[in-house]
Amino acid sequence: MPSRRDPADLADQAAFIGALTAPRVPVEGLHNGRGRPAADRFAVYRNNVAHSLVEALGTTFAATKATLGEDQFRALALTHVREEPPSSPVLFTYGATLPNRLADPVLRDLALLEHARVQAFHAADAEPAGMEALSAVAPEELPALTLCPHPAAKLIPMEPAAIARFQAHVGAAEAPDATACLISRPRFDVLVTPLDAPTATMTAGLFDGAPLGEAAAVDGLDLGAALAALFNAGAIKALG
Amino acid sequence: MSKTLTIAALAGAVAAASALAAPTAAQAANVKCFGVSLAGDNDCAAGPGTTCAGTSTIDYQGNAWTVMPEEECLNAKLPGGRTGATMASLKAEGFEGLDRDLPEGTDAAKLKPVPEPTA
Repeated sequence: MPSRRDPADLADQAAFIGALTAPRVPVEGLHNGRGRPAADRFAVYRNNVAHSLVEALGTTFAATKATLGEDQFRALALTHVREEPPSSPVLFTYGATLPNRLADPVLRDLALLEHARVQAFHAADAEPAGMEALSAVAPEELPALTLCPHPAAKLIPMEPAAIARFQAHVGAAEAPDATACLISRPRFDVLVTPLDAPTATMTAGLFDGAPLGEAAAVDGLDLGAALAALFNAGAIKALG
Repeated sequence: MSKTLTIAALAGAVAAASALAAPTAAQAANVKCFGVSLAGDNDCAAGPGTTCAGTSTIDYQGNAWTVMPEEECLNAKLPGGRTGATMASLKAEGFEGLDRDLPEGTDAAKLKPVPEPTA
């Protein structure tokens, strides 16, 4: 058996991989079990690879696909597969740079949210802190209190129209004042919570490690509702 | 930032937030249950390289799990004397699954030894 590091072997592999995502590029010397050319078989395999990756992207970017339409999304995904094939065998991370291909800022934000949502699904498990933990803190300790974010929690600033599109896609209530979405996965289900601008500013501050007294000093903030949103979403892991 | 909120304002907001808090008990009942999934029907975790949903290859595979209410997991009636195990109970003993019904070549070092199923 040839060594895995045989340079000739590696060159063959590189040609094979290159041809996989390039339509109509032949692979030299590829033959079937009887020594005959296997170009037709390779074409089937090439199509399967592209199709499965396009399907995977369509599953991750479901709302983006629904907005763009089947044909346009497929063309976009196919271009992405050919120009940026997966660099990792772990499929759920694939598509991180697909949003960059969307010129429309609303669609780009929608796609960014959808990809982040899938990453949250695979983030580390942790039991979120409950509201009772916050209620138990002595009032004089509140200004310096820090709230450590849950491993799956992420704040995504977004175009309001993109939030509206996502909410409509999943059948959730409209959130006309929202300027960001909070992604969280307290247990098994990923939650997307739209946040208004003051709440988003406070959350960004808290996630950066600012103490509550500073992070909550935002004009127009309904602090009670904002804290309830964070804890109800399970976005906080621990109080410090 | 030099601006900060007063203790009174913060305490008032925390009280208001408590009133808005969603009850957590109802959604806490589901657990990851090992060793009960039918082949290809697990929710996640079926060994190295195949870390996700629908990848288990054997019925009742010991290192694959399905999300279900805790009670259902503990009382699951499975053939051959098999029982399910919650992730929490396995973790408490330092295990990551059950040492039964595994695909060939699975590393069972961190799997809990259990009696061989009779069928």
